[in-house]
Amino acid sequence: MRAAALALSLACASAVAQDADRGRLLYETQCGSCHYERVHQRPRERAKVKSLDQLRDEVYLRAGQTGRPFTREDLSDLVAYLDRSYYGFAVRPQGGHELIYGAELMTSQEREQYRRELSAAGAGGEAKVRAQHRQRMRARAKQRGVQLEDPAGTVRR
Amino acid sequence: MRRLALLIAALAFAPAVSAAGDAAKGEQLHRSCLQCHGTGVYVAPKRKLTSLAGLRKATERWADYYNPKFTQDEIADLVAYLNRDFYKFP
Repeated sequence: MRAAALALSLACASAVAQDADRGRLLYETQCGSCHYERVHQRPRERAKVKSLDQLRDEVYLRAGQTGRPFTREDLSDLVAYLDRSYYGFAVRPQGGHELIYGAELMTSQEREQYRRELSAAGAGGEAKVRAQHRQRMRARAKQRGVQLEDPAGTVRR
Repeated sequence: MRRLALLIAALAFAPAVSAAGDAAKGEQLHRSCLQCHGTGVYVAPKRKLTSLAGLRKATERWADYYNPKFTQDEIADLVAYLNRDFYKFP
């Protein structure tokens, strides 16, 4: 396990900061022995993690508990993966406009509907709406034989 | 006279896209786009856009992929920025 993590670290040492795909690999190989991935799917009002800073703290803490060596890059990739997949704290970019995941596969009406759902869900429910939406779009992409780039959700060309 | 009045009315209510956008504002708004790609896509050798109208159309298409949607004014700002710094269409 340790060797695998190390090899992964070395292989990707030159990768840019915050590689969520790499975070996913680390997550799948390093985190599953203590908890299922569904711990991240708690409804937001019951979630312990309520901000990107808290998510970071939690990942650093849990990583320490494994007793295995994680580099800073490993940890930031893990945070990026979890945020992309479940929490969505970072998706509202500085410019204030968020790209809708899989937008190219949706009709204009569907996008409008999705905007309304997000705004109706409010801060507490947005993450769930986003997660469900991402799942729907991934299924749709598969059906249409296209691939979506993560985390943006644009169609791969 | 009536025709002139109509012309004036048409000009007064022309959509915002025909107004020149503010490139500086566009640059700020463009940060939302940088989440997913750099500016290299605008100067790629195989880029498909060949005119200002095409750039406007493409920007409008992407503007509707966001939440919240970009407004017509914001689209004009984005186009102004993209054209000033990258596409440079006349």
